[in-house]
Amino acid sequence: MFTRKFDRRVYVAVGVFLFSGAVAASFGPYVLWPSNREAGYAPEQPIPFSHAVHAGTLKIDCMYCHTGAETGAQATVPPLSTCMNCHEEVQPVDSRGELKPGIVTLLDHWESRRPLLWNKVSDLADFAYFDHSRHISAGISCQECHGPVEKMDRVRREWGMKMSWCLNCHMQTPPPDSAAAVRGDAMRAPIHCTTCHR
Amino acid sequence: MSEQEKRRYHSLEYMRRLQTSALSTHVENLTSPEDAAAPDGGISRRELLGRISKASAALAIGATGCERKPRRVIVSRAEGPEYQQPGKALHYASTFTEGPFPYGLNIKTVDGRPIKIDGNPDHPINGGVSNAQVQAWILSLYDPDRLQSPMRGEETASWAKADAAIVEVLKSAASVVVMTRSTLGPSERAMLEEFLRRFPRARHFVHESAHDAPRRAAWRKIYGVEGEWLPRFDAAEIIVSVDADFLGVDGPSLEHTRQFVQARAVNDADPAATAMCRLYAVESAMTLTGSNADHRLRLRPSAMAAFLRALRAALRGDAMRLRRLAEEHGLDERVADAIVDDLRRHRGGALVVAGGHLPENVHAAAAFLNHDLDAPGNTLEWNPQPATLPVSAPSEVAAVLSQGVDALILLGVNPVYDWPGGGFEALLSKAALSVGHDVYRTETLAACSWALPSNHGLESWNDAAPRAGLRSWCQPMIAPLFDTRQEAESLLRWTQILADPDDTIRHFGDWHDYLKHQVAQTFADVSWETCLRTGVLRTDTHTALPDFDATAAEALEQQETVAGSFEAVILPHYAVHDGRFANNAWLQELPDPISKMVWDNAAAISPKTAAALGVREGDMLRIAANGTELRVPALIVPGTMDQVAVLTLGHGRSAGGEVVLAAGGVNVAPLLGRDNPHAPRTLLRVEVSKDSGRRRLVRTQQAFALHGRPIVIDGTLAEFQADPAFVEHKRHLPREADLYAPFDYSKGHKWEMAINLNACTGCNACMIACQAENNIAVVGREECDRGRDMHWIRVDRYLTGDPENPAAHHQPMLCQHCDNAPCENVCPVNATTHSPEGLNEMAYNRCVGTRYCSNNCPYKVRRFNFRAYQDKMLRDPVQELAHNPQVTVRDVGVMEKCTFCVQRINAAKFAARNRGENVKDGAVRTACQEACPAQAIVFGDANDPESLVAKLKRSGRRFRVLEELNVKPNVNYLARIRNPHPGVGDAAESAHAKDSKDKVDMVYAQAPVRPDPINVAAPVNSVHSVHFVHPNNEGQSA
Repeated sequence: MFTRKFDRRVYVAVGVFLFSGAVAASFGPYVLWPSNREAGYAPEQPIPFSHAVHAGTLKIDCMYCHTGAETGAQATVPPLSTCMNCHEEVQPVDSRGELKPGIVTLLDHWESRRPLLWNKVSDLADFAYFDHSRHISAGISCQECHGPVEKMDRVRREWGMKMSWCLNCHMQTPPPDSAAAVRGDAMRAPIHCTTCHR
Repeated sequence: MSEQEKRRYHSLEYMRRLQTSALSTHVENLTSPEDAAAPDGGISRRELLGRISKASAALAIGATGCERKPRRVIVSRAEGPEYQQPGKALHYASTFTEGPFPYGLNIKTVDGRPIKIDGNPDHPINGGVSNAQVQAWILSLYDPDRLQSPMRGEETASWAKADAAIVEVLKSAASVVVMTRSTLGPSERAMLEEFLRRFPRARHFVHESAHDAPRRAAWRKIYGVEGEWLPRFDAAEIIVSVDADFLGVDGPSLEHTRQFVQARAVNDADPAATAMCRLYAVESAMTLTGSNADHRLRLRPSAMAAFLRALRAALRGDAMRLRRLAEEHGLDERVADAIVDDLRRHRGGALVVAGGHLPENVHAAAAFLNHDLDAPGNTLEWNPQPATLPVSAPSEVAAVLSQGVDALILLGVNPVYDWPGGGFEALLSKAALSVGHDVYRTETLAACSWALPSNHGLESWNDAAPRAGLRSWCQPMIAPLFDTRQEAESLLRWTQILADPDDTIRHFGDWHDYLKHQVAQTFADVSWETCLRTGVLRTDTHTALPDFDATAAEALEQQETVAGSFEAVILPHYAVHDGRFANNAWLQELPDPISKMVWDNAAAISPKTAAALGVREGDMLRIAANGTELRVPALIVPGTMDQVAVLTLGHGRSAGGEVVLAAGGVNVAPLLGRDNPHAPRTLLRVEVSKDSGRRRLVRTQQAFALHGRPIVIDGTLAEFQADPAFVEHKRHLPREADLYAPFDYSKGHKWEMAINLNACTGCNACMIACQAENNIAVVGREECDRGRDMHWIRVDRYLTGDPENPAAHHQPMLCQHCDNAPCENVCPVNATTHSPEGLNEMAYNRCVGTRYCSNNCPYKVRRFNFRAYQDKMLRDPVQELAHNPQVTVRDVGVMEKCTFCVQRINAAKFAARNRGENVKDGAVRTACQEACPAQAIVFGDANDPESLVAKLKRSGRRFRVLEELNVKPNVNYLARIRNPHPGVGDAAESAHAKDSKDKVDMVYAQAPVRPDPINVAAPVNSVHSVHFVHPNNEGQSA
């Protein structure tokens, strides 16, 4: 019907179209699917624990609960007994004079000695080995990575926490009186692969 | 999280929340580096579009409730253990109860699960070191093949049911037989006595297939008391080992290795002051000990007694017998004379040890020699309380069992598999009730009426008495993973039910209670907590030497040894011992230190014997002794005595787990002991002939010749003392020519390793330590055959000298972390890079699997995941727990290799920096270094001039492998120093001489099943052209 050359072009065009459709169908969902590794991820927690109240208003030190942050790789989430240090006495009630539902859940778990499962918010990839103690003792504040937690009612992931985000900080020139500056390092922290990957 | 919540997360509302939160945080955090993209405090157009598109896609597919990344939870326990911090390791002291000797352990647990076992530094016997079996024990704990609940026949049952049924029989039982291993702790022995007291005709038999019963029996007869001689290799100047593999499988080899290495230490600072012991090995099998000897003689097992007698005669002035014997057996007369000369000169510093499998007359002859040489009290110590119970004579056990007993209780033994001569099933079936208690459902448990699951040793309470004046404890690291119970606990429960209501045994709540009570009785002034914390306790003991009964010894010595033309010895396997570790895949895949064979056993014969029989490696041999006949594949091992077949126990098992079934090999237990009941592992009359058929044997190293290249450099003590820098003349140094400007490593750390080849005995402990620390996969027999084994560190072995009796050279080989790494240049994706601290790094997530790096590596130490080797382990919820959480588990298609245990470097560095200090020397210990029984491996910061590694680097013995390539490796080797008798030539002298090469190749070329790349194509006269062909075969480089 048409010239041979035209036919061939049609075939090529259709082929390209189908191929890109196939590519889009296979990779599209992966790219577009929502991820809990994105900034803004703020899952609902089993207890609507408010950091804004505890860390912000009451000014409880982060390390009071996250005891591991200073000494270990993991910051750790406290056992319920830590909550009960205060909530044995302090049991807030709502406007109707009933215990707040979060407190009810806490007491329920505490009395039955059932563990509480929190949804992880700041979740690094498994192949990155992050160490809290190293950052805390280098004088990095919690907020630098976790954002203004003391203002959050529900904890929200502040950054995507991708490798480039880590490197942005690691590659800065060290603050004048920091240990790195004293050592004469060019960067604030090492950036070779095995610093985090192993 | 409920379905509703999940959906809400993907809803439009979520999108709105996402955007508002993103906006607000950007406004609030102007200091953050990401804000550069949005200077106006808002969200950039690009980012907004991206988010909207993602959110709308989420809207479209959100109803399915899927998420791209798995949502994970953090568990808040109600009350956490105070001392335990998530992710932080805790160490506990314990004891290795599974092996033939109880070593002290230091076990690392993370989040309540044990993940790594090392030696207890406070333990006087093994110090902080460990062996392959100790290291691999962790894998057995998480073995899903373990028996998981009591079974009656093929049906599972509850413990209550099992106890009721067993006690019902025991209540009316008169004759009860309990069979155990020889390594029972003192409290277990007490418990067993307590149990057996309840029956009128009760017997306790000890069963082991790999034991030193002939030696113990000879000593009992000679000295009239129960006990054992402990050789003090550190005090010895001259050691004559007669078929005793004391560095390998004979006795507490960790203690022996520590002492031996100490006695052979080289004084680098003052070579003239080096006092080194000399080891003569007279062997029928090529053993680890023989491979470390200064002089090695090959002799048939039947001639060992005559040899020792002739030696004694020669010491007393009659040299004729020795000369005649040397002539008859083709011994090198110069070496024989050298032994006599040395023994004569070193009275009080000489030591003769004889293998536990040899007949009693050898031990009597050895005792005569030792007493003549003044060894007792000097190089021999008497231990009146051996760690192991004497083994029962199989004939006696058979006599009792064949009459039929009311109850037969088998605790941790597997006689259906390894009964000497076989045929235990018939004896077992005569018992009215048979109860098997073991960790696995072994051949024996499958044949018993009740099969009871035992705890793994890491789930158990126990104690051990390694020798007089020494006690150690075993405490559980984890609650039992399955519905199992300790053997001693079972005995206690049954005894309590059988006991009278007012019996004191009823007061104990459980076995732990009983054990505590026992300990409190023995050590009144030491608290239970102290015992557990230290793991070991020493009490002062002084033992007098026993009286030597020369008449009894003479009577023993005169026992005739009548041998046929072919002989055989049966040795425990280096890795799986007598079969108890057979379901441990790490140990199955651990190459034999001599033959480098994996997943199999075979009959080792000498090249000459192979030629005489007309067999090639893998050809089946028919081995017959006293009516039993076996078909065993031939393995050609240079150094084996002619007309002697060397067999190993522990393979050819038919039940007990998946690994057991996957492993090959032949059960040689049917050959045990029919020839000579006093030395069941020495067969003096054996028929060996070629049989039809072949079995492909898999070796991880296939070429053993050095081709005159300085890969392993060694020298003699005389050479070293004459010129401490003798190594310089043997090295091939590179021409320094670099394309790039050299990197300045002088700042910060520079991690380097030094491996002292003079200490390394080739025992392979480092290989399993590395495997446990770094989550290294097991690939299986077939993949090993393709050269795809994954060990990050291997021990290469080279042979030089006389092809029939070669000298061996062991060399641990791992990533050399070259500063001019050839692998780094060829990686197309920058997955392997160099750190400023000198490490050659591997970023697994970047690796796309081109394998260019492996091809370009001259050392062939890079390992590629050709398949998803870890999948099975990862899918198993129990087995997965064996992984070290500090190290990534690699998937298919990824290259991997030694990291210098970078997780340990980081941990030590972070800890020091957190304290504001520098990393102290010795704070970073790699897994291989920690395990090494010889402490041959040293790791540290070479930039610190006071560090041990820096000091070793300055030694005159230092060289680096293939340094002529100018790859600048960071692993330094220290040359091995041998100490041959000045009157005899050095056995390995021809190591680098050209003329011996052809002879060596001719013999070793027979060894591999398939053509060997080196032997086929090596252009030997051009040293440089062969560097890229490595013995470790073609698979990895393909």
